[in-house]
This record gives sequence, structure tokens and C-alpha cells, in this order.
Amino acid sequence: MSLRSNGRLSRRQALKALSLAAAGTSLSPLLAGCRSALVTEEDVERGVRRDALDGKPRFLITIAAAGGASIIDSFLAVRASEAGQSAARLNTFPDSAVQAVSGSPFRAVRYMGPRLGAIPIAVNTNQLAFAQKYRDDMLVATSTGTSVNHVIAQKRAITGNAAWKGRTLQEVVALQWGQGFPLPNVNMAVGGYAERGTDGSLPASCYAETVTGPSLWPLGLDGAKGIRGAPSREVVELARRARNELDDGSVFGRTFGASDALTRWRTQRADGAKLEVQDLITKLNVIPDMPPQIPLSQYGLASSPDGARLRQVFPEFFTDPFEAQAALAFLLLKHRVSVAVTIGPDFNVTVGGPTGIANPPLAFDYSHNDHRGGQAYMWARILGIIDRLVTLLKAEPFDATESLWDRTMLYVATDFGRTRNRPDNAMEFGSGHDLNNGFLLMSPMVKGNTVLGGVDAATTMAYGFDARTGQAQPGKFVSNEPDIYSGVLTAMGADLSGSGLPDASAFKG
Amino acid sequence: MFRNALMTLSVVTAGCFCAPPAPPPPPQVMESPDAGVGASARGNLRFKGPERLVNDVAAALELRADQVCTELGQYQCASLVHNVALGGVDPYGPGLYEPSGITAVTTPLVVDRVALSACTRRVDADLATPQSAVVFRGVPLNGKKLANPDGSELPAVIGELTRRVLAREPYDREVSRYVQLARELDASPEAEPARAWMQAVCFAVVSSTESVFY
Repeated sequence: MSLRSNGRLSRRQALKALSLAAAGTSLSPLLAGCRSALVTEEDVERGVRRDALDGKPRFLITIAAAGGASIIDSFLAVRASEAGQSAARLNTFPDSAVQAVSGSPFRAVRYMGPRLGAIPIAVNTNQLAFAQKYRDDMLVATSTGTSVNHVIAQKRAITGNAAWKGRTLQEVVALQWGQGFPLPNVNMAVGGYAERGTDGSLPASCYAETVTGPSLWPLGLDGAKGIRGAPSREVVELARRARNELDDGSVFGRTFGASDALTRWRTQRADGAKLEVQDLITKLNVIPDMPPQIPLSQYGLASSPDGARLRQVFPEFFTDPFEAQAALAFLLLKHRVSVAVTIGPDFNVTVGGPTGIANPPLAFDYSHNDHRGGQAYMWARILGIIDRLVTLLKAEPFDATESLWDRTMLYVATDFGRTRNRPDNAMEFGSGHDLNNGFLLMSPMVKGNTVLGGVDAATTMAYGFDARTGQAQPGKFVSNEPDIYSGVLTAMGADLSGSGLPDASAFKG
Repeated sequence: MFRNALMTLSVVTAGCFCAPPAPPPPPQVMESPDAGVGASARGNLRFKGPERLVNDVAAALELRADQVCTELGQYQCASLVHNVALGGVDPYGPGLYEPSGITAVTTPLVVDRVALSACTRRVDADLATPQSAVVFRGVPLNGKKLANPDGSELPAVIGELTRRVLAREPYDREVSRYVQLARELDASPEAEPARAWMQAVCFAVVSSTESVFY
């Protein structure tokens, strides 16, 4: 289409352009909302959804690092000697505490403190082993957010600040790869991380199934098993059949049968039957048979065949919800129940673990009381769970050629960063909320051993990058939430056509 | 004097145990509606949620709320284990301050568990002490079977259950379907078809959409 000599389109050209634009506008939501049904063979031939249509699911585990996990207290830490005159008043570390990760742009913090704020437990953590072990699957992207309110920032960390119609990352993944999965999107996290997106047009199965008690939640995956004195499965099925027939023909059913609530209910009843058939009440049940507190066998129940192994990997799963969540996350992926699982620590104190305190109050937000100790302690907690979870996923075959880990993206979402200032040379100090931070992504699918953006050592503030090329852009401190959101999906190979998301090719391996 | 009193007491007691429990009053069975039922234009239905569901089931079956459903005999279904699946909130743990407002995939399964637990308890109690049976009273048994699936006692029990759970009389279609269920179970290899029918019909009514939505 060429322009006229005056630089304008002819009337015919303008009409043609408008019709093309209108067609594109009207088709894009349909393509986005019902992809599998509407993607044609021609589209596949052209390469649309090339990754998504390889016939195999991809998985997203979102680790909701509640409270503000500071990237400059981990993989982008700054040495005092690099910050010049400002070092004493900024959150810089003694040079010896910031360790280089060989062959990598990452850094790792070693921290030792006599107490954790007012909590009388010593903190002794070292991120080096983790960074060395996983550097090739790690990508850190710097970020600038748009809110320092916990719940709002948490939600924006999973929606890219409504980058794609308000859909959460988990909902997009459920939409793209969750077909045929009984519970595509399971969410065990807190606050804004547990909220659903604002795009109400998605299939109901894309929205998260909320799980608040991962240890006992599997008991709800069967309508009859484990109820003492209950009739046989055959009797229950006969009763259900009679009930469903009468439901449909009743005055109530005819009056309200077309309502959203009953339409959804009928679908959910059918979906629930799929859960029962898979015996997920057993397969996902990590808890052991341990009468009298947990008398599984007395109720006709049993622990998962993976139960003993998972209890060994996550020995605190009884008392630490984060460990129980991680165990359940693994099983949800292993048994092809879910493609998107969200887990994370909450803001409550959890008693247990080697120090007696598994989770400090407010998780990462304990940094208000003791920034450095709180960050070190919580980063160790997060990385410890990730390490064990990734080890399990690596050992679990997806098929003959790949492990589950090969097809999994692990996104460490967090609320925001922390303020950088501190009293002169203070080692124990409190911090506030700051928009400036960075995110950790881990997967064989990301461009590994990579930092997108960087840190201005003189201010310890993270500067931005070009999400397409990966080029660092010192001096760029503008919001880039859509870049992070797009980066997660781009690295996973999601079909983003019609999304309007920025090109984030730099994230993809 | 004392002997007379003892004899009187023994006669009264024996009388209590020998007299068959009276069945519920016969239902005023309603004619099932034809296709002329108008659909609601607004269809503004709500799921009952954990507290309302359990309290309604408890009231209908004359159980204490904490007897309605427990997991592994000790963990409350509605207020603890399945609270969120039933549309509840959990502010102190995950910071879930508002209910989702819509049912989840697991909600129907959890409703089934609640209904089946409560019904099993009601049936067990009614069969154990027929003289004080609440719902399933006056049903003649032949060993483990219903003595007469086509008798008038089954419609009476169905009516009692429907009044208690749905606050209305049953429709003739409901009565005939549940009687048919009794025949199906009677012909099945089920070891205790009478108990199974009581559990099944109670479960079907308690977990019906009319029971769990309002």
C-alpha cells in the first residue's frame, strides 16, 4: 500500500486499511479467548503457536515471595567498595559478604547475624551454592513497579499491572496449556497473589482453585471416599443419577437452570467426576497414616505412593505450610492435574525448622524491623524450597526425552523492593517499600545465566533494559511491569498474538 | 408395693420397645409441573456457603452443627478443611478476606461429602434407635432389606425428608424416582439395601441444587 504524493491514503486505500484494522480488532479477542478452537491448520503452518502447539503442556510455578524480596540483597548485591562515598548510607555489603559466582553475572550474599530483629535466633545464610548450582537456569530482570501497597503490588506482579486484559499469568498459562487438566490453575498463595484476574471472559476452569490448607485439601477431591459408614460407590452413583435427573426437571431447575450459577454448577459437577476417577484423594495426599491424629486407614484412605519421599524432602510439611504447598505443587504437576501452581510463605509466624522459627512474622516485610537479617533469612527460605522442588522436578520424567523441569517455568514474584538508605554503616536497620527491584525467573526455557538491566552501584538502584534486545539501559527507571509479564510468557513459548504485550524476546533461551 | 411398681415399669418399658414407630404423615404429593414453568429472567442464585449450608443441614436432620461433617472424625469440614471450597474466607492464614462469590471445581464434591456425612449419621442414628427415629421412622424392614418398597411408608419418608430439607411437599416425580431408587437397590448386590436407600435418598435431597442454592 503506497502513499499518495501528498502523503495521504487514497479513499480506497483508507477503506481497505480500516476494514483490515476492524477485522483485526474483532478477531483478536476471539483468538485470545478460544485459541485452541480457532487456530487453524494454516496458522500452525505459518508458525502461530509453534511452541504452544507442540502438543505438550508447559508448567508455571509462581513463588509468591510476600513482603518484598530485595534483589540487591541477593543476586544483584552491591559491594561497599563499589558505591564510593555513599556506601555507608546505602544498603551495601562488606566486600567479603558479596561473593562472585564463577562464570556468571550473578552475585551471592553471605550473611551472619546474632539475631533476627527481636527474635533471638542466629541468622547464618549463604546464597552461593544455590547460584552456582542453578546459574544456567537463572535469569534476573530488573524492575520498577507502580505500587508500594502490598496487596496491589502483589496482584500487579502477576498481571503485569493489567498488561493483558487483567489476566494473571497463571490464567494465561491455564488457558494455553490447561485443556484436559482437571484443575489447571491452583493457587495456595496469599493476598494479591491469590486474587483472580479481571478478565471475566475466560473459561471458568482458567480461574484458580484456591487452596488454603494443602495437607488436608486433597480430602475434598472425592465426594464419598473416606466417609465412615458411607454407602458403596455404586450406591452413591445411583443416588447422584437420581438427583441430577430430578434437579434438571424440578421447578427450581427449570426456573434457574439458565442462570450462571447453575450452568457453572453442572459443569463443575462433571469436572468433579474427573477428579474422582483419577483417585486424586490418594495420589495428592502427602500426609501419612498416623492414628490417632491421622487415622487414614480407619477411614479407607491411604497416603500417596510419593508420600514418604515427599515427607523426607519436606520434613516440616506438617507445621510449615510453605513446605506442604511445595509438596502438593510437585504432585499437581506430576499427576497432570495443573499447569499453573502458586505457592508462597504467608505473613504469619511459623514455628519449626532448625532454628525454631520457620517463617518470621510478615515474611520479607520483616525487613521493616531488621532488613538485612530478614532478607537473608527469607531468601534462604525461598531458595531452599526452590532447590528441593527443582530437584524433584528434574528427577521426574515428563516423557521419554524430557524431565518435568525441562517444561517448567519458576517465577519468583514479589511485591516490590526495599528502600536503600541506612544509618551510617549500620548492619541492623529497618527498610521501607520501594518501587525499584528485580525478579528472578528460573527455567531451562529462559536465557540462563543472564541479568537483564543492572544496578547503579553509586545509588544501588536497578536500572532498566530493552525487553526485545536485552540491552541494558542505564538511566532507565520507568515502570516495566508489562515487560516482566511478557517475559515470563515469552520464555514459556506462549502464544501472545492479539495480546498487545511488548516484545520480550530477551527473556527466551 | 415395690413389686407392683417394678411390674408396672417393666410393662411400660416393654410396651415402648414393642410398639412399631409411627411413620411420618403421608405427604401431600404435588403434581409435577409440565413444561410451562417460566425461567427466571434474572437468575440471581447464590450458593449457601459453609455456615448456612451446615446450619441448614443440621436443622433439617436434627444434628448438631459439629456432627454434620468431620474429616477423619476430627477436623470440621465446613469451618476448617473445606471452608474456602464452600465459599468461605480465611483472613488469618492466607489473607483471604472476601469470598470468591462463585463456586469452585471442588465445591460440588465437598457438598457431596457434607451431605453424605450428615445423612450417614442420621441414618445410623435412626436405625440404631427406631423408637426415636427422626426421619427414617416406620419403615418396615425384612432383615437388611426394605420389606415393601412399594408400600406407603417410603413416600411418607420422602415427604418428611423433603419438608425438612426443602420446606415443601414432594412432587410426584420425586416420589416415584426415589421409590424406583429403592427398587434398584433392592435388586442390586448391595449388602444392606435398606440402609443404602435411606442414605441415598437423603444424600440426593440434601445435595440437590434446590437445597444448596437460594
